[in-house]
Amino acid sequence: MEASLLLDATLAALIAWTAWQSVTSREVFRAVVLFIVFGLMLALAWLRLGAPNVALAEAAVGAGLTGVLFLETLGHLRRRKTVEPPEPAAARALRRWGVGAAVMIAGGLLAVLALGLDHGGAVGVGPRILDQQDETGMGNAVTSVLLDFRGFDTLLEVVVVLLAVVGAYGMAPHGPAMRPPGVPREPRQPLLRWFVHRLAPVGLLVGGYLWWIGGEAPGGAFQAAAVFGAVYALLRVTGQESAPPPQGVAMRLLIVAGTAAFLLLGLSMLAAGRAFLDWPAAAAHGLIVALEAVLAASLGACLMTLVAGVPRHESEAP
Amino acid sequence: MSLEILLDGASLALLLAGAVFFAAGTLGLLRFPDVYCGLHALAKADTLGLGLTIAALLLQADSVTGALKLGLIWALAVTASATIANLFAALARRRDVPVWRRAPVWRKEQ
Repeated sequence: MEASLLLDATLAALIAWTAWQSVTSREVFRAVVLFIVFGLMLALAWLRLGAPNVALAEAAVGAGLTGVLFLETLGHLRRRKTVEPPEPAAARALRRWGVGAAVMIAGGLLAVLALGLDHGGAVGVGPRILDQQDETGMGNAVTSVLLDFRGFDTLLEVVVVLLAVVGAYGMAPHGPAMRPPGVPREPRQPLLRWFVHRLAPVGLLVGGYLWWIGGEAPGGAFQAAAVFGAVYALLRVTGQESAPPPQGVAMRLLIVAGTAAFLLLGLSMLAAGRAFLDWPAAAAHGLIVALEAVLAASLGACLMTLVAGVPRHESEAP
Repeated sequence: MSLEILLDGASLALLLAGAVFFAAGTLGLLRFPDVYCGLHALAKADTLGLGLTIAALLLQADSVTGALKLGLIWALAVTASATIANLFAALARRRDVPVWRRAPVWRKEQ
């Protein structure tokens, strides 16, 4: 068996194993850690499939930021002393192996079907996209697909993130005794402050670099926004006063700005007599770069708001 | 011997050494008697493994910018692992996790 096939088979087995362990684990902390590992394995799988953009997004958002949100939720649950009832060994074995067997059978069926698909010699859309890439002025084919050819899908993704923020706030209790979110915790250790003091600027630089390089190489607005959200999470953990609480008009405007800018640009194309979200070839590069900038900032603000959490009752610990 | 073969051979040797150190670090994490020793294994052996892997990749770098980026990754990883090891140890101390001491060796009665 050649080496790359062995590597891919090991990776696939590891992905399935970590997913199974994460889903069937009773300890929530173990499940969350295994979920983060699963996200990293998935990022490796995307790399093996030749999709570095998706791998970056998976590692940053799927493994990184979602993991942070899970861990914060876990800490919140622990402070409220949620207790799981004990489970007898037989029921536990049945549950774990039942889930494992069901997923293996379903996955095996899917794999057999997918491998047996006959696409009749069709080559896919790739060559066509590469041919027409000059229209967009971008060096990165993925960015030109995301923000020009299939801009509508990206618009819907941005709306989904906005809806997540609105939904999170909508489900929070409200009233006069609520403390606004994002109140920084007290710094506990000087080493952590030292580390974050030095890491936060580097993190911001990395996020800005990911946004800027998205035109030519793997990167883009979502990955940059995930890095900004992660930097904010770090600042909150150390109780730095420089972590802005997601209150105030400026923050709310920033949260909505991504969707608004996208929609406005698309509608202005309609007004100019072109199709919705159809950039003219001459101005496409500038439009896409400007739009990515607004998206990076706005999505970063959305993810920061999700990381900061929702208003909590005054009696609860932060 | 051409330079390329030399570079590839050196990269391979460094990668293997890095893999050995990673394996040693993981073994130490699993088998050391308590949290503090396991953190030693993670912070030191894994970081050295990463350093050797990055050295192997540096030999294969296409440009100076790429090599500098690799160096930045290594610096960030080293700082992060050292800080996290310290934080974990402090957390374990706060939770009064007992420090393992070597079991006393009983002297044979003369």
